[in-house]
Amino acid sequence: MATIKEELQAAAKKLFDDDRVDYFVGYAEDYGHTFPAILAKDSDLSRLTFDRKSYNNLANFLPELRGFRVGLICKQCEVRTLNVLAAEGQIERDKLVVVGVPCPAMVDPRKLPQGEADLAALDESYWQEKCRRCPERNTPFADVFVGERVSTPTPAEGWPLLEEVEAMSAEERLAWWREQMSLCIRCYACRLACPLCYCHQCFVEDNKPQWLDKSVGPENNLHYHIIRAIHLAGRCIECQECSRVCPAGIPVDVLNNVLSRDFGERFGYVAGETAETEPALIQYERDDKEDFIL
Amino acid sequence: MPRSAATSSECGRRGTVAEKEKRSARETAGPWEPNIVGFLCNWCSYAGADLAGTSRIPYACNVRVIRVPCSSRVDPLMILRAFREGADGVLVSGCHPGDCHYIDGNYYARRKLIALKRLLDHVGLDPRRFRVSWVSASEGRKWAEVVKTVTRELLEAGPFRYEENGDD
Repeated sequence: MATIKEELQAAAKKLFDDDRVDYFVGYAEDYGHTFPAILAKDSDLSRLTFDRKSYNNLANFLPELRGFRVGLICKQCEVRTLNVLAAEGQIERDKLVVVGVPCPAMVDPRKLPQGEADLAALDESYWQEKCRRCPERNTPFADVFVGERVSTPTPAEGWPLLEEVEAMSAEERLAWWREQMSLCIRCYACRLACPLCYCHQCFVEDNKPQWLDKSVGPENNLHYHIIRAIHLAGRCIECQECSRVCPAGIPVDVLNNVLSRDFGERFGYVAGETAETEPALIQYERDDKEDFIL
Repeated sequence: MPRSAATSSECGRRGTVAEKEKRSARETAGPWEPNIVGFLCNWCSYAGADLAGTSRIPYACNVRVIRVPCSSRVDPLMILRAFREGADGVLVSGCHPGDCHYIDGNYYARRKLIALKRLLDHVGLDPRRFRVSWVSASEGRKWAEVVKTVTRELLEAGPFRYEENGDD
């Protein structure tokens, strides 16, 4: 039986041979790492792979590849991202070939044991948080499906870290966030890794008015992250790429989860649920629950 | 509380030298008074505040009013900026839901402000520091009440300390 790697390479080759795509966005393997790769017709397709270290949200590359026909490996994370991007008019669905894969649940590189490890054998304690919450392991709307479909375990409820932080008092939360924010070096990796941060000019680069100081400091950093969470309000699909790429290890996604959870409870809203789901902040209900307004 | 006790923590706050001098002049001039930035929509709350004035309704003078076309014009960035520039509290006021001059501006504003409120509460900002109200053009009395309430609460909360939201 062919491995998923071989099937994937065959599928990519077929897409190029049938002239259905200009680029194929997937994962390549080198030096023991798996990283995202954008492959063209004459690229070496034997580098293509898909394993438990294929963390990156590949939909991040789509706004850059606008205008091209693209084959894209889609896990559940990408599926929800595609829904949001489609609702916002950022992708042309007819130019996109969705390559479905059975997702084996990604491991968290920060939890990996030292030395060589058998990735396939790692249990739930090594998974990324988002994978424990994943509602569907097989890509729901794949144009091409590669590999054997897998069963999806019952998704875990709740956001453990968010609940931990929310259990603190206001003063403790303040101190906790202040400590986290003092680590931030404003490298903007969170912004770069986020598939929904696609603005050509971000508010942090504005000069007139200059909303934020360019310098690093807890206050500025916190305001940057709060506004970033606001800009992702009702759009964030909880792929947790921002936290994964943070060189300071700040759990940036907690701020996004605050709003995901609140919008779910308050408005019954789930971002990227379908391709028709509009972002929460460009719609309203006349009787939206308001509980702090004088 | 003598204001001078807080000045060491004030050093890190951003702002021009002139602003800092103005602030310290204000701070040494008597008992501390909260500095509130009010974003008022042109069609309802601004007219309501105007009515409070022309009706000679006495109320606290702590709100510095910024007139905006609609409450949905208020970007969360403006609110955070106000705090960084030395506001002790921010009040956003617009038309009642359903009364918006632009039909549905305040419905959008409401969702946006709910999101900001949730985040500010989460990071531990005192909930008294950021308030939203709906005040119509005929509610001069309500405007006076809102300002009184907000000012009273901020007097209890005290000056906005840098610890509350980080410092540079």
